[in-house]
Amino acid sequence: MSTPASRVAFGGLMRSKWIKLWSLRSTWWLYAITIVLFAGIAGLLALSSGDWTSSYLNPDNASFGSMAAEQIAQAKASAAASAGAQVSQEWIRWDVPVLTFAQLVVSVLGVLGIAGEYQTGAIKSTFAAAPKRTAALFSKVLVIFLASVIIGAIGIAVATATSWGVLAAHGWPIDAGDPYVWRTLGGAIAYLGFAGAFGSLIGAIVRVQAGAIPTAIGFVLILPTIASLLAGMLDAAWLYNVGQFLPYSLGNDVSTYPFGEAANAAGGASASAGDVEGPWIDPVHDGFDPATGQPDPSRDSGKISVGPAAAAVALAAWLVVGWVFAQLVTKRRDV
Amino acid sequence: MIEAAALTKRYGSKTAVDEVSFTIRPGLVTGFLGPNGAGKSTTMRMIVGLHRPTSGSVTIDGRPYADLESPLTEVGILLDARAYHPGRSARDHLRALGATHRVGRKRVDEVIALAGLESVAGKRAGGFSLGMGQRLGIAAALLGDPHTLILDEPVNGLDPEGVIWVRRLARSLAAEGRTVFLSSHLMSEMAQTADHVIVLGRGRVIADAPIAEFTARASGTAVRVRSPRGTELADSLRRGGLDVAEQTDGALLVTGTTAEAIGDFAARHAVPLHELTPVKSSLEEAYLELTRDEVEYHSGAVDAAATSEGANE
Repeated sequence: MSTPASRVAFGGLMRSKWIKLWSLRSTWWLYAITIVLFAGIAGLLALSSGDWTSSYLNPDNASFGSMAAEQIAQAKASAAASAGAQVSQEWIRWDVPVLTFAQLVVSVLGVLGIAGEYQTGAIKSTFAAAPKRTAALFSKVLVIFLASVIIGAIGIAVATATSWGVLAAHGWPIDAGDPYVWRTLGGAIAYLGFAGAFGSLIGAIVRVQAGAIPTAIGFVLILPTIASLLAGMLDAAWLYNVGQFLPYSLGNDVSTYPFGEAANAAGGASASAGDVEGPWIDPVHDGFDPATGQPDPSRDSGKISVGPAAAAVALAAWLVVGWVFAQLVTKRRDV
Repeated sequence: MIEAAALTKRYGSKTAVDEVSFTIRPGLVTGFLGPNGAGKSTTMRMIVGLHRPTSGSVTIDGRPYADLESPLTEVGILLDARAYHPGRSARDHLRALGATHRVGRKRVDEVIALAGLESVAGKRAGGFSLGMGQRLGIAAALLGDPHTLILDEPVNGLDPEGVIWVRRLARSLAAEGRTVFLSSHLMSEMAQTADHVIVLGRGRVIADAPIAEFTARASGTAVRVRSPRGTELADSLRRGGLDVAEQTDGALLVTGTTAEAIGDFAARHAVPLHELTPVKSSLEEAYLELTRDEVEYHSGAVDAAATSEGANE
């Protein structure tokens, strides 16, 4: 007898997971709190930026001390050119701090989305209705990814608008057309999607909430801290470089405003921008000659910086690895 | 039709289900009996693919569960009264389950009404009593209007009205030609519901028979006797090699012989009798007898469960 393809349609599984996600009060609460925090932190940071006329970022307020006249002219031109990037950076500077919190919320909701089913026994209904399991797991991860992206998009839209409103009211010349702003915010939204999906995969692998939530938080926050502490203690550049590929660092890479790149593009290569990172992986030129105090590439520490494009690929790789594990254990497990 | 062939499940060195084979036919209510830990739930989980058999196979209408085209509309299952998220309402739980198979709101409302959950359908299921949870589980099993029903301990936690409801439901579903397979550890419950009984002990099938045959096979040879000279009678019977137990109301329960034989014996010794009643041992007793034998046969030592069963007699 041939084995007929299951008539359990993927669309039906998606609908089922969608109903499940939104029929829990905890989902609404956590997502609502996330959006409020996005708006609140963005508003507060924008308020703390003060008036444009008195801001140190305003090239008109720059003081050049005792430089020669031609140096001053050069510096002024450079400052004017990078002013746009400065303002853009100020506009979305809430993005990394809020994301640190928001990624925890969406990760935990991702964990709960699957570990919660194991814990309550609802997984039995789920797998009985979709005995091949893989499709059920995939639909769950996809729904959580989409929900995280939607919440991220709403939160980021609200925060961007709030920050814009406050800064614009204080005279800041915001350029809403800055492509780097939108690329950065897009990266932030995608990273939240990643955090949710990755959390759900951890939930699928660990399945006990009390173990899965700390695992997810550990991955997001604790592991990078340990890696960077150890790298510092052991003076191990390789460990530092490994740390650059943990989700948290990668998240920062895709969601940090690329000031150097933006300022460069605006024609205002600024000395203070230091190394201008590319979208892929670049060496960090942090070597200097201790005798002269001058930069010396031959003495570089061997550290690397991960650009947003490389970070996006690495995040996708994390999801693939997580999926392979989650799928393997889900297929085999007795529930 | 559910067919199991040498179905076996081992957890490490412990064998939970040991080469179990049976056929569960449509149009009948088949009861699945056995003490706690006999392997009933494990067997049921293997039928629906939630647990992987160590060896052996089980099919539903000729196919492994995982190969069913539309599991929810072919097989309805209740395996765990708490197989829902406590934060979700009964209606949302059923809607989410139905969505996987395009079962719409109309059917969801039908099974809610069928299970008598209308008044609580919108409330968080976490606040449900065991009985209400059980009703929700049965509603979920019926959601896809399936041809086969597998219900693990469906009456557990139900009030008397609920027990009667499940009994009637099981009977009417079987009467419609469906396959109904339900487990219980209470023989008395099965006696009133099932047409056919499979008894599991220590992971093995120890009986597989129509309930009538089971009753007949098990029906005992005990006779209840009351006499004003009870003590004297008891002593005489014991001397004759019979087993006599004195009951709290002063009557004697004699096993190993017939009412006729005792009547003749009493007449010969001129002992007046006030009562002489053949007692059919109840199904429950027959079932305990069966499972106790099985336990003893297997372990070679009386374990805690067998001891307590023995103490009940």
